[in-house]
Amino acid sequence: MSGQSDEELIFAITQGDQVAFETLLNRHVDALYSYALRLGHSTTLADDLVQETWLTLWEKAHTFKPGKVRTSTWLHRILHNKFIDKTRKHTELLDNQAALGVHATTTPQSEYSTGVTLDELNKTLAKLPQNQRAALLLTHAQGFSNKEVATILGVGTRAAESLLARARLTLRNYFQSSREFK
Amino acid sequence: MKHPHENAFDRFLDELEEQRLPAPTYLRQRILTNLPAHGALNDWFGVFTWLQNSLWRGAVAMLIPVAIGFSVGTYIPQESQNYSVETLLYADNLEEFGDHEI
Repeated sequence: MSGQSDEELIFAITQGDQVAFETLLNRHVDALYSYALRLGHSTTLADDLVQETWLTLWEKAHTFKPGKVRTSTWLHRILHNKFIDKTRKHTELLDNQAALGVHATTTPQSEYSTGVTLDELNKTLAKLPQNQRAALLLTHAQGFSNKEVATILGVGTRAAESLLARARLTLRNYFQSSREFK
Repeated sequence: MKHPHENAFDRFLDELEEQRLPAPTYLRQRILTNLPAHGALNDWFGVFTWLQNSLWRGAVAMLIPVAIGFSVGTYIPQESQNYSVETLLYADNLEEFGDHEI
């Protein structure tokens, strides 16, 4: 089962194959969780987003078009759309959590490897507007191309590039003005 | 030589690429144990599709007579629309209709 491609697994999922589902889950769940956590700054929200994304995959696997987009792109797009839906309803909640500094549980091996702690990373990311943060995360943390980022965000490629450029500029300005990183 | 803030920015991006935030075990378990049965889901989806189609057909079926009525209504001569049924049946002064012989 583990030797099968994502497309083969998704086809098996359309037939109700739970083993195929679990294999695909193990392949992509960490990346999705990482994105959800950094995007929303809340473990509860990340849990819900990731669970709902996989439930959607289980229910709508037949709508996946092999060859058109990669599985990881499709899954990130589902998650991102769910994030937008939820944040429309809970914008205030997210703002409050960001202001209070609600962060992910730190993983010891990931801390201090380059001198930037996870806490600092999250605080810095929280300073970016939502769409810029998404573009930056998808490019630098998730490793998507500009075209894939555009697909996930539901915008044109140029708009995605523009968001990324603005995110980098915002961060550069932040680092320039911040004493913490000097 | 890079400016310190440029170094900090590069460090930030490096860290973003390297740091991994694995999904907790409880979340994997929650996802796997809360999957609805595929068959039941399809059944419910089938019922929903049937209901949706029925509602559409019902709505179209109701709209057809309304559309016909509206179309016919627009062809009724303007003169006859000036008088209500009561006026036509109980009119005291038939001269109004221009026929003294009635």
